[in-house]
Amino acid sequence: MADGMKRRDFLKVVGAGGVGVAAAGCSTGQADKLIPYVIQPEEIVPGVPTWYATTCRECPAGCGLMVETHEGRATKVEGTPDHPVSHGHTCARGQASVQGLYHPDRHRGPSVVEEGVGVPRNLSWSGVETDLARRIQGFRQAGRAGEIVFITGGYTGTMDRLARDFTAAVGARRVEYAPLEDAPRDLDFADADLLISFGADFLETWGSPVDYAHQFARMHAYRRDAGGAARRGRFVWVGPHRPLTGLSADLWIAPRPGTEGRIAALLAGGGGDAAAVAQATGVPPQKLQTLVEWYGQSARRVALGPGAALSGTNATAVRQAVARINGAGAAPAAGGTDLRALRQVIEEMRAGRVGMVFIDAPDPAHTLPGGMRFVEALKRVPVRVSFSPFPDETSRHCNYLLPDHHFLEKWDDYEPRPGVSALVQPVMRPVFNTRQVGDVLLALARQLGVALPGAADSYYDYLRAGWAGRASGTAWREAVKRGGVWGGAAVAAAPPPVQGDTTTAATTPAAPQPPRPAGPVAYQDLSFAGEGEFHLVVYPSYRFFDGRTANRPWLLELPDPVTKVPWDAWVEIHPEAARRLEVEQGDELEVTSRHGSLRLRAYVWPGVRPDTVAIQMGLGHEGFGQWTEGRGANPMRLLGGDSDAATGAPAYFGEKVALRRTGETNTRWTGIFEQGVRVQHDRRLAQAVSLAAITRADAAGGGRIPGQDQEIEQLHGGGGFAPVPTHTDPTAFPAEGGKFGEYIDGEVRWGMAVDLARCIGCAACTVACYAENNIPVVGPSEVKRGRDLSWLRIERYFGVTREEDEALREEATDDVRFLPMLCQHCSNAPCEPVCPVYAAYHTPDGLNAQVYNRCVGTRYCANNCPWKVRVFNWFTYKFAEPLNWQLNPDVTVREKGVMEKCTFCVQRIHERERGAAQEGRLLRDGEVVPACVQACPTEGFVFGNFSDPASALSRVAASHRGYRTLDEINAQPAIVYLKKVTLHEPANGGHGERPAPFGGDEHTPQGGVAQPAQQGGH
Amino acid sequence: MATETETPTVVRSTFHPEVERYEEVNRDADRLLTKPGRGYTALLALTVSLVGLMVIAELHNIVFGLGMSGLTNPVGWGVYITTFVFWVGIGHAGTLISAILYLFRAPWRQSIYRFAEAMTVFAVLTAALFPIIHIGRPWFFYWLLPLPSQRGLWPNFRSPLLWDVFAVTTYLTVSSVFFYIGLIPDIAAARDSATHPMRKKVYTILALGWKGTDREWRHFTRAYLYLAALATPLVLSVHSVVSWDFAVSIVPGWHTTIFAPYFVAGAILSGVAMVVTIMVPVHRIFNLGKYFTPVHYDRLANLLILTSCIVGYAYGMEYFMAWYSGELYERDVFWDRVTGEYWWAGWSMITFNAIIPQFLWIKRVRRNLNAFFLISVIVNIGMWWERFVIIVPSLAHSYEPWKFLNYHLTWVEASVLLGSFGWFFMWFLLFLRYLPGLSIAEIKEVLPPPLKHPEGHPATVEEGSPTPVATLPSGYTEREVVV
Repeated sequence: MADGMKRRDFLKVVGAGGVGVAAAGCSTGQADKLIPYVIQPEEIVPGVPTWYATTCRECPAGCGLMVETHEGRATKVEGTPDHPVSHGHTCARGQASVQGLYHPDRHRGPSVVEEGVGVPRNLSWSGVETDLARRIQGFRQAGRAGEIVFITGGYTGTMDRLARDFTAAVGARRVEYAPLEDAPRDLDFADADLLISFGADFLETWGSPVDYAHQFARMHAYRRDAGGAARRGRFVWVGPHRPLTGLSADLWIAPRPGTEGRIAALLAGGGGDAAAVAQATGVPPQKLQTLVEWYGQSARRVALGPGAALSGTNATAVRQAVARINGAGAAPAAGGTDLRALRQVIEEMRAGRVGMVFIDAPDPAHTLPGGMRFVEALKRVPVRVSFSPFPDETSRHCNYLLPDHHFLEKWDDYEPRPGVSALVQPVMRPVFNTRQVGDVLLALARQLGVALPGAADSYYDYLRAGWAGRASGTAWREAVKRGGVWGGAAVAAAPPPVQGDTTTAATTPAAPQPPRPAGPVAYQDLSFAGEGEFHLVVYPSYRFFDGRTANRPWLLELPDPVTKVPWDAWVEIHPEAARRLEVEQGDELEVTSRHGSLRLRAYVWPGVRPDTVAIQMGLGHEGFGQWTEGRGANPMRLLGGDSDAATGAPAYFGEKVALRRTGETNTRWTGIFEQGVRVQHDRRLAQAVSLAAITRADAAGGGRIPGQDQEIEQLHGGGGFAPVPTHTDPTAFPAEGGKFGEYIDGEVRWGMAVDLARCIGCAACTVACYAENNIPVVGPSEVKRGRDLSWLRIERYFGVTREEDEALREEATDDVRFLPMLCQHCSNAPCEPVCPVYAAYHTPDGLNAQVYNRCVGTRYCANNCPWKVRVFNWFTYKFAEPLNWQLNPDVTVREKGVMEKCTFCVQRIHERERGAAQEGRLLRDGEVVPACVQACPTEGFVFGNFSDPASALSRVAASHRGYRTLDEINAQPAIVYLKKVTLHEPANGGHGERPAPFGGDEHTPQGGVAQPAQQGGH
Repeated sequence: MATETETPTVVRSTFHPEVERYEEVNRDADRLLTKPGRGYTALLALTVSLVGLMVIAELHNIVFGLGMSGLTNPVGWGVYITTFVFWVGIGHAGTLISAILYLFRAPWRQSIYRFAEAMTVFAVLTAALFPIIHIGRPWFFYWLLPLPSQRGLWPNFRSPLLWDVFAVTTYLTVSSVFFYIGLIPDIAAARDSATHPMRKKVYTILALGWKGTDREWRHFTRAYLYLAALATPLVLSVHSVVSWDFAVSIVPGWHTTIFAPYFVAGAILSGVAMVVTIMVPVHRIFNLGKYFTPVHYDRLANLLILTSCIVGYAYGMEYFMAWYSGELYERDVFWDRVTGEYWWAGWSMITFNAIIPQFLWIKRVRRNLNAFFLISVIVNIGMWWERFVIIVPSLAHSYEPWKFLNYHLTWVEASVLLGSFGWFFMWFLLFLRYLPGLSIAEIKEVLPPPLKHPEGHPATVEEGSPTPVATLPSGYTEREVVV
């Protein structure tokens, strides 16, 4: 959270500058095998990582990334510091991008499937290109060039230009298909007082999630401005269903499906009075009243939406109402996909009027609505070319497989939003014999003998030439070093029109320009079609997006942030509806629409309207590699392929479905597995405080680190026999008389503060931890046994008491607590004394260390850990080749029989300590950044030194919101949590709020041995 | 002294009224060592194959990893530790009967102590397997031992697991030595009667040249006494230490001061039950009614009732303390034990250990060998469940609700559990066949000394003769048992 550039960041940028250019020299050639160095390259020091700046292409957001490479292999991605999109952070998908790079299912090289053979024949790139060029030439000579179709997905910048020029020059047609890319990525709401989202999951997939999460934290987290006044914006979620983003909302308004636009119209003015809207939308009048009141009280109000889940055929009208709330005259750009054009092409394909199709779009066979019957049409095309790097549903029906580079292997540019031109830079040589689409197009053009404007030998040269106006020479180096140009430089050097641009645009049959509404569209309630009783919500997945990242093992193993279901898909259903249908959690349901049906397990929770069911996109793959095979079902099969009347954008909302129980129920090993519990069982782990209470407390001043406020007596005197008055806070470590070993007073005591008011539950930290610490993926059946090896988990609680039913109540989703749980690095750690071989021990700088080499695996430490954050290697887990290339060489890979847990990224601490020692100075505050802290897009973690009262950590932890979990055990954790701040008076369970199980009187978790009255804090 | 006109009285031991002569004891003890029948071979084959099963299962653990068990993140200990505690507990009755009752001069121990002691040694031998089986990297087991090595690292003496290592190894050593020392005069007897040259040779070596001289007997009895004194505290200490594996931790349901006496009582309960479980078949198969008389069963029943009451009290006290302390976590764990997924285990533990043994108050029940045997088996099962209930639900339901997750055993663990019984009974069957199961020397101590007839008492009662039978004073002041 500290401002300014940190040392680590500085090093990355410096490193990237030097090597970026060096890599430029070698990536233009053919990919070679990776072999050990015979002659040491000058730039590479073994053991010292090299950082490259690039841009994430896992989703349209385009976050700036810094990629850590060790000896020519990418191992970890992090956000580029001060990047306008990523702000130095990432999401879980971005963290997992290295698994896409090293995915063992990737195509190893170009291949052709011949008619009737079925088995792909591997070819050389030149062979494939010659073959394709010959076929294109055939179409051109026959005057059938118009039968060649290029389906592109999400091209901007140079690729957009190349595709446009190429299709124009060849005479082919281009259709854009970029699902979920139509959301604005340049909204600014960091200083808003009220945020209203109409189904826009801006913390997950909508627009620019990392940037928006970062802004959201600044807007919504509890903070005090310069004058000391407490500030906290409000957030209202409008929609029939509450995904992760909606769970951060202070108010959930769930209008009758299809009437959401009325709420927007009401707020924008001219939408009738509140009572009438309440009547029409079925929203309780007092809820709507609250919204109207908040709206009136707020100085700056920003509305977002509609999100994909709410995008029906009337999406444009809703979007325009949202724009009116934001005070914009015109509605923002609608986005990239005009489904009408695509539908027309598909119909032509079906009619056999398309001879050749190039597909470089996110798996249309999986992501297009089932009603469009894309695969059927595709099979009618004689030549089907897929550029997908992975075998997927589309490429399995293609006969030319020309695998593209992963974005970490290629040169490209991308325009995430106006004013930001980001560069994609290869961070290593390609893992497989793949070739970037741009190079293929250029080669085809060369072979066909058609002239492309600005054509070059390689895509890199083409790119450089195109960037000449924006950045050349040193400016290009600077741009590569930063990962692009933005800010003042970008505006000053807007891309000049490329030669021939106007003419090609004129001859392009289908303009790839994003469709825009012609003018104001009259709002109409969405009418739902279909026989069933339930409205269907199909919403994008935080982990899998539209399905394109679904094959990453980390993301499959990561439980969904809301439902906490790993490795599977489900259908969300309201408890009331479940009761009516006599459905229990995990029962299999058959969901049937007009267009298809599928079977999924029921997830019963109140985050969805009783008349609605919600299904996440992303799973249900049939040909997307070994890990997605047979997992879940694809909800797109239920949709017909309607589109927004005004813009042609896909309509995901507007279908009705019928549910039927199949009779299959959840057993221990079949069905879905929900990790964790939904209620806190009165353990007061994730606590909250009302805004009023914390404002009062903070106004009074003070605030101390938990444990500082109360002195207790511990047996530290006389060799462990005499009580000595001590404090239990982490700054008092090691306790007087408790010193053994090489403790140096006041040197370092590592610790962490976690602000629950900032945590949105996205679990980017968890995936970052997997990436940094070589944590293996154990797979679905092992996860069901509770053997996932995650060192850091996000606990999600719907209730605070022991009553499981609390989580099923209507208001359960109104105060959801997300709790990042990791090793607490206790001063008085229960795991340490019980280890017979000193594998668990305390380091002088306050870390609770685990020495893998000493561990014999008694598991006593894990039994004795109250937080259950220690995980055991039940097997020697495999990292499927070449996923093992991703392993961080700074971290040991553990074998079977060894206990492991969070180390506070001790390798990073030592790296920085060595650096400081070389420079002959002490570590600076904020210099050490563990992976979780680094990744967190809302900057909810503060890591640092408790011994230094001036450190950011000590200042943040000395808060009236500070508390430690399970403090009554007197383990003296070094992690201080800051309570979530709610608008209402929150329940925290525990004292006086829970029914006694034995029918006795109220009882309180009493203090530990010498801690009679201390509690988690009030 | 009987007058000439009176019929001479026949004198018998209180405990073995049907044993007439010293040589009868030798004969009966030797009878156990003779060539066994088919049943014995079949049983031995069964136990050996169970051991083979355990070896196969353990190889799975070693080759693939402990993931072959059903253990999971919150439940790090399961069947292996349960079975470990179970067998350590079984081991306690033997030492109790042989050492403590020896010191208390309880003469009814004479005929059963050898079996009990053998059971102790084999039970501890079985238990000792489990610390190795249950750890993640068994090939580094020796890191738990305080061996000076290049690692320059002693084990952590604060860890109860280390105390465990010491407790179990000490117990194994002392009980084996005690067992062996007690065997020496009987091995010598076996040597003297052995006909097979191999047997003769081995017994000769094992008997350490015992000749039965006064001097030898004096040293022997002294040594035996001191070893008994040494073994006695171990009966209490070993299981206390084992209980501290749990009590020293902070896991709710484990962290209890009552654990040491509770575990010791439980150990004696299970051990005595196991003695009965073994005695009854041996009694029946080898027709040892002369030596295992109702007096013995009666005494064992007393022990069972006593320890069952202590255990029952401990159960009650655990629940009372959970309620009375008001401690949230403690209450939740104990509530979970009887209502959670393993509620049936929780209830069977209470029923089997605290309630069913109370039937032994009824004379007809404890005198009925079948009923007593059944009860002893039930107690054994109950005591295994007791350890399971203490270990598993407590871990599955401790502080962190996010990690409330239960444990389910796998075939590997079931095989190891079965194999441990195979291992134990394999040793026991071998013992029956190769070492004197009856303590020849000590049984003779309670028999009337042989005197010359007709001056002395006749040894046998002649058919139809009204010879009165008197019993020797029992040697201690407990109530006389009417046979």
